[in-house]
Amino acid sequence: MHHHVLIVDDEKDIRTAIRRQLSGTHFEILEAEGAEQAMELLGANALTVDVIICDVRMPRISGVEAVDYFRRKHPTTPIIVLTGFPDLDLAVDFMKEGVVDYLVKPVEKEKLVEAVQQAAKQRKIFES
Amino acid sequence: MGESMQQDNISEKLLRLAVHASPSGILIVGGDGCIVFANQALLDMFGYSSDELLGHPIELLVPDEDAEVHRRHRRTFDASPSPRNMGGREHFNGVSKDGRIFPVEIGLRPCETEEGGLVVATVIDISERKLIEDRLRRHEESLEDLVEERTRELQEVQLEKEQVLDQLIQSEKLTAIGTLVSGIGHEINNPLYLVLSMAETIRDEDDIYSRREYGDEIVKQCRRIAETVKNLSQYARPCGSHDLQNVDLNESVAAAVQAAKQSLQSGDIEIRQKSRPVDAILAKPEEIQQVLFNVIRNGIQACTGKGVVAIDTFSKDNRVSVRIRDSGTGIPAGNEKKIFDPFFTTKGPDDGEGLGLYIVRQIVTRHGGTIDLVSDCGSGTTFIIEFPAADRE
Repeated sequence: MHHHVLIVDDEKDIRTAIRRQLSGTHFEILEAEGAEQAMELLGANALTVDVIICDVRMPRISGVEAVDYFRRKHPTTPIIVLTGFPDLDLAVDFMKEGVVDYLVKPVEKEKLVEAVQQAAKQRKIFES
Repeated sequence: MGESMQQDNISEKLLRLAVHASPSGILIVGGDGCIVFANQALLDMFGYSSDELLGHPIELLVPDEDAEVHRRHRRTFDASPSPRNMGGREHFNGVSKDGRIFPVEIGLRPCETEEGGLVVATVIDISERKLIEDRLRRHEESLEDLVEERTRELQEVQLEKEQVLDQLIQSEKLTAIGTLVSGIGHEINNPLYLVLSMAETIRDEDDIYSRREYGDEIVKQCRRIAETVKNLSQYARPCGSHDLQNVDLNESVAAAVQAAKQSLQSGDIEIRQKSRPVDAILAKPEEIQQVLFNVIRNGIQACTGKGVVAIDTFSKDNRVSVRIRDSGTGIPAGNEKKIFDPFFTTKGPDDGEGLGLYIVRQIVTRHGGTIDLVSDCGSGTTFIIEFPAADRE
């Protein structure tokens, strides 16, 4: 049974860094450059994506819009939002939307791994 | 004296009339300084009778404090007598029998007669005229004071205006920096994240080969961060450096383009720079960058979806120009002048107070330059900024 983490970020550097940080876990990494690609991947792998990590600032379709879409189409998949700028108002809004965690870049490995594992547990709860 | 003396025989009666009825006071003073004749007007003016004046020294009619000066004047005059017309600039005072001191105007004419040297004087009381003159002078003085005060007030207002403009420029720069910073945070965090993840790997793994490779990559990313920070510091330098320098507009454009690319969501917009060799201009480099960054930013924001912002520079006839063209929505006819007004903005309330182009024009004008634009609704806007070339020494 595969466990995937879907990383949605327009910056290749970030996707690479997160991939590296999660390389010690049992999760496999799926990468998407933006919301459209993420939606395609989700459509194909809905059952196996345990966690979505999504950046806030993206061109074309923003993180906010993407999160909204994920929540509607895949309500049981937990979302961790990643941003370069701590914004309390935005954090509160996201939490209200049902996002499970809000992380500020750069995130240290231990913290990211912890957040992903917690999120994956939430997924199991949702599923059951 | 010739012709008038011939008239003597013709009508003595008329002569007497002329003297006694003359509205001006007439005095004749002998060589010893005593009065030998005074007409009615003079007698009335000073309040004396004929007996009271004749044979007395002329200083009787002069206030005590001026008597010595008057004697000296007489001695000077007697030494080289010459006619002195009325309307002279000198001020004299007379004193009447009842002690009233009043200003007089005096004309003098020396005459040689068989009885010796005589001086004929005409005297008029100029009290009223002096009163008017004094009032006029006081009026002039108070007007001058008023003008001086108003001029000073105007200068103060002008100074304040300059200071406010400086503050406005600085505050607009800070707003632009706010935009920069929120974008640059992004620019710094990305390489920083890479560095973090690689450092974690080096810390947690034993693979020597990876260490070397990651170490190199970390150095590269650190340089990237340093470059970004350097660009930001150059932009953020405060208005304090008042020295004008020789500025190469191509360098300023390059720096502004760099700042724009790093900080604005310009992903879909291509920024093209075409530089031709240009003369230097005398300017404050950070203000020029502020101008260029502002106009480029506007160009980027005008483009919806994909777009191009093209910048080129050229020199001609001692003027150095930079042209910034965007393929955006253009400026509606009628707004072309307004966009330079302070607080005019067509963006939403969260996108700035609309000071950008106002500041741009102020800075350009202060540098002796001009800014013009051509706009076509639907196909884009071109800004042309021109500066005078720096004098070659």
